[in-house]
Amino acid sequence: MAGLNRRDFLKALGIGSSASVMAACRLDDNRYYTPIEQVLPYVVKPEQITPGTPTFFATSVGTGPNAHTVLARHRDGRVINVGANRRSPMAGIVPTDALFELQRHFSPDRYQAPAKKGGEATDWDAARSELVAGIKAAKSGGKKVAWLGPYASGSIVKLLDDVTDGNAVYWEPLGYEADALAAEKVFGKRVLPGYDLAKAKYIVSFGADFLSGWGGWELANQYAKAKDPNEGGFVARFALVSPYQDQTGANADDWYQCKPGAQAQVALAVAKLVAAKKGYNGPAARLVAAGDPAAAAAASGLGEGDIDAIAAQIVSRDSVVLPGGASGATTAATELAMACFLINVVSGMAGKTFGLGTAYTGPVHSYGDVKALIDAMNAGSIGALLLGDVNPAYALPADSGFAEAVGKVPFVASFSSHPDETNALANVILPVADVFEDWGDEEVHAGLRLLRQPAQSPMYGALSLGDVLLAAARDAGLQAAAAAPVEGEVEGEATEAPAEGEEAAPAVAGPIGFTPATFREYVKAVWKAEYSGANFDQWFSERLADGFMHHDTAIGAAPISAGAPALAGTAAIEGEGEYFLHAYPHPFRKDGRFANQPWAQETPDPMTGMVWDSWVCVNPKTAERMGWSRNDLLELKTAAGSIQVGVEFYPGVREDVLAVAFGQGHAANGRYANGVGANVVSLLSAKADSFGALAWQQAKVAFNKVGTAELVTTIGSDTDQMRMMAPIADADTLAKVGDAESAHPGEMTGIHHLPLDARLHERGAVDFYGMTDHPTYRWGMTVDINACTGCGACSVACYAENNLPVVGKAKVRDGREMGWIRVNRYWGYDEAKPGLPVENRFLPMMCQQCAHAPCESVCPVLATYHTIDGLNAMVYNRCVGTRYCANNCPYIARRFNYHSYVWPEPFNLQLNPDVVTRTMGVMEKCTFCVQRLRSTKSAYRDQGIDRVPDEALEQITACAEACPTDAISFGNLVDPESGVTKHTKSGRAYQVFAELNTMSAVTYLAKASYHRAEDPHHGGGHGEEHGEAGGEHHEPEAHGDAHGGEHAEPAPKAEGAHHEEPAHGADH
Amino acid sequence: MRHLFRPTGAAAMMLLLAAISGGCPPVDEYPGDSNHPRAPHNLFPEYTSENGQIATGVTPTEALEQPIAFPHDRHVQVLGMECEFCHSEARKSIHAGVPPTQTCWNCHQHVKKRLDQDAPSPEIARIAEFYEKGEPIPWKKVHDLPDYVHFEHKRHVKAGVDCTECHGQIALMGGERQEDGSVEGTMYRETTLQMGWCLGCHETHPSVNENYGENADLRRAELKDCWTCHK
Repeated sequence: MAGLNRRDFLKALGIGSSASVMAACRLDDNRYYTPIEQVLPYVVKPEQITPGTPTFFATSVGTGPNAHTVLARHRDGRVINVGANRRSPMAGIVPTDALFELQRHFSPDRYQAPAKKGGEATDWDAARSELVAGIKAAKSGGKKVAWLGPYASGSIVKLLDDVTDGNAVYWEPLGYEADALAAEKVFGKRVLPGYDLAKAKYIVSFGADFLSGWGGWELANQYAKAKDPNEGGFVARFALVSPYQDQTGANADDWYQCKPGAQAQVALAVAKLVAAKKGYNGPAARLVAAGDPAAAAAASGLGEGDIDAIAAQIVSRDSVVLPGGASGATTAATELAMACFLINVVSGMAGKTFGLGTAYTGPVHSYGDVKALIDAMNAGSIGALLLGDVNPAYALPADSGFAEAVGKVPFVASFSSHPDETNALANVILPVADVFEDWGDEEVHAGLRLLRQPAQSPMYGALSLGDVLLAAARDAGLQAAAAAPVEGEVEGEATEAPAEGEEAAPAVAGPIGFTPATFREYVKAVWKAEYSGANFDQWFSERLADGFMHHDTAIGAAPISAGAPALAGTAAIEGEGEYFLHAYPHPFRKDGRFANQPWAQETPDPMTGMVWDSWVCVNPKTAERMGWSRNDLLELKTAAGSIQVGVEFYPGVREDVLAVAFGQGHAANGRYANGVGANVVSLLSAKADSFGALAWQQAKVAFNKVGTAELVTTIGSDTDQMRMMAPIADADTLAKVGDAESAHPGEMTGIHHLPLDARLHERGAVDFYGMTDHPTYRWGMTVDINACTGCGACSVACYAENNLPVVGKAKVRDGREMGWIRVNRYWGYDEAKPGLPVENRFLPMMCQQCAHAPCESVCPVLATYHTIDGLNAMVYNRCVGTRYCANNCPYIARRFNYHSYVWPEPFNLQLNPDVVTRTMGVMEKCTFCVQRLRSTKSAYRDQGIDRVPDEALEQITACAEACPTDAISFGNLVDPESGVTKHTKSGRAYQVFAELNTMSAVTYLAKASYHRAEDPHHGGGHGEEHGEAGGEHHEPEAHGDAHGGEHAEPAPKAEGAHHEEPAHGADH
Repeated sequence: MRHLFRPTGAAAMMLLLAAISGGCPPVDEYPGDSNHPRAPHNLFPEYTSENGQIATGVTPTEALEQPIAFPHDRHVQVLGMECEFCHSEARKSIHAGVPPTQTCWNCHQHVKKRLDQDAPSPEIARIAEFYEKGEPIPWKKVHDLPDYVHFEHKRHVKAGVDCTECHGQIALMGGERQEDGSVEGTMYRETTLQMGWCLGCHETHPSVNENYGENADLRRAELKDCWTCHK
């Protein structure tokens, strides 16, 4: 062995192991070689495609009010990722829904062929003739053809309305029915009003989860703008009136713990107070006259002072009030939405933060409409039922009678491309092309339309829904109505006349009829009929390239309809017992539609860190009273049914409320969803409010402990253990009520610790290690904790970009999850009101790419090292799996492959070819998306530019690109003008564990809170006056505790104190 | 084995490891979460493309049997075609681009025989066969880098690296179908394509000096960074 150097040793290791395997597995060939691979060229190469280079298709995901424009990244024949469409007037973000849609697109459970009842596969021709026969039979029997599907807008609505003679119902569980009904009553139009949160200084939500997709992802982006203190801005205050803090509500600065069922009463009382304070005398005054603050206070458990405070804040600043969403959908759901709309009107905000000019005008049906369809099915007047991609058999309470009613329809066709509970009821399943394979368009509002185009050829030869319907309509001899009914079409009175007169045009379905051969032609015909300029084809292809058509549209007025009913505002949840059931939409799985997507199951729940399960959120005080502990299995019972869920302690829930998320407990939705968790809908009965909106919050709940659950969470701690991981900056010094905006300097106070490396450099300290030289780039990231809402989009985007394996519940329990970004959630409390979490923080934590990386120095094989660009590189094929690096990482950012995970086909088609899949025994971690950096540098070199400009870097990583609130920025720390460099100089900037001298490349910006006591210290670099105060503190190791409040800051560690003094001198 | 290392003192280590590893370990059952497939729990996994493992090692140097006995020599030497005439993505993308069958067919719908023969060529007929069936020609990869390597043709071509520096004298490689149906000499690999060989150029290639001038040292430092090529 003498003379065996390290390299030879490793070589021998590699060869030895492979040789032994070959021998042991009885492979005859004793050689060690790469298997011969094939290279398959195109027969005829499509013009747009360059092998090895991604092509981007502007398209839209989500339908109806949730539609968002994105870029589908096409590589070598398939869509591998979804990116932000930054050309569009919509926020350049990637909704998590789009990523879940992407995984759904490649789901191994997707139907590969049409199927008959019972699951017997058939072919497209047979299925289509069955469809035609079904429609023909219905028509010849004088019966109706009906459609029941999810929200939709644009051309497909015209086509469906034509095919069904207007008997199309567009309904989604946990949808916008209350808002649409309320708008119909108050404004005379069934629309979803538009909001502009960016202009608001005070945001009130009665429960709507607008930071996880409610009202479209645009709202989350606007919210971050309202909250942004970076440019000397005014930090908007967000108040939540709800019994439960979901991920959206956890961001609230004020939490009014309203008793379930009393939200409408509170809203009405606020409306009346606002009208009184504003001296409002308009038509809405009559509607809110019944508001009674005293009664509302009594019913809601809030103080009268609270209700008055909300009204006072609304009056004193620009405000916006958002309704209840599914969380506020009690038996007064529509009244709540009406009251919220009216607050916006009486506060004078219509036309500023609220209006009908940017309203969504597509059809939004209510449970009342679904119930009418169910009644018609029972009455035998529906001859053929066509089901879109909606799952009422799962999402509707059993006593709605949906399943029985469907059984009475002679012909039922489902157009869902994935198995679900509803499909089992269909005579024939036509698994049509999905959102990445089909043509289409969406009308976001009067001034913004999105186009959808195929980003790859359909998998398994799936056909387009539009194509199938057009052909079936022709074959069945249907006649399109002369003028199709137009649901809720706004004449655009509130908006200025559009340049090209698009939406003033009447419905055009009549003249188009069913003549276009394909749905693509149909969409073009619809757009052409509304286009008045020249050269339509060129114009249309330009719109396709953009993905949208837009002209500036004012948010518009909100005139009160003459016939609007006055609000009564009284409703309560009836039932036995004192505990209420709160059922809320899950930020990932929503109403259950994404339950079968492994990313939606394995990405930890933003609030609890739970994976692959259902749980009940219980206030710790309730649990203490009841003697429950975490992980106890409870049986929850209502009149409608029962479920079993494990207990999770959750400070963000009222003490008399038990909260369970929707979306789990599937029976027939695929291998990943079936049997996971429990379906909370089985606790509900089909109760609607007096306007026809389904009441999702309707029950009191009984319970008993039946055993022990096996909940698995990735969140290890409810606080940062006073380690300053997510400190608080004081927003009140920045944004006091009534202050002029210009008075705010934009600098936050309350951060006591500048990044240590900055201070080291300021005083020219000599570091033991010395600073690594970064001649061209030092890649850096900043994460604005103030903007981060905890939505988890970064985590999911990372799964999609970096080929992260999904490991399942058991492995997560063993601490073997593979997510490269985790979002730590820290509960934070107001000093005055302990137990009331209003200062919660989310801290996205990924590899910090330390310049002095603790992991590097312990790697025995140099598999991890510092690159010339400032990255902490990880060379997978050099890693031998000692795991020393992970042990030495203070951020717990490293993930180890305990197994070689495989992707069931066709998930493997989604894998990013620029990122290798890792095998067993290899350490991995965030790379700052080095593959994107590499290809971007290369793309600029192609143009002769040696240094990538900042604007191309700002959102280059998958997480930064996805982030709906633009909390994550990326760039070059060597460039003094780059965005990230400027962020690191902000008064809010800090680094996690800066005292460890890791010199991380990730800088966080502290959250601005309204709940800090006034802090005399400004900026950083104080410390002298606190330097010796550590003795009072019970944790002498910890650094300054921003939320202890009494300024009993512990003694900084030796080097901290040492460094701080000169810095202090320099500051003053 | 002969491609990777020559017998040294390290062989003893190899034999030791071979003895330790023994037979194929049993497949772990992973009770309770069968939804999340994993490869069999081999401590020393078998490297094949089929099981999703990282492919490693090198391709053999002898010519592979290709579906069509394509003669590079006649196209380049006799007809004087440039590489990029067919491999048209070499300057645009990370792949050089094996030409779509359409590219072959553009000419060979007219050219049915070899210049030195009178009878129609059966090899050219095969192109028509594939083209008409609409099936890709299943070429075998001769220059195959492991999956964990990121290689960009365009960077190298634009830097002024000649195709032959990596691919060898392809212009001399012919291809004849033998009587037993096998194909000989179509194309083979002349260089090792191993990391040390790559780094040799990254350290010394004159194009770096030509292209980067006074920044050449910096560029060389970048070119030697692991993450320049490893992904």
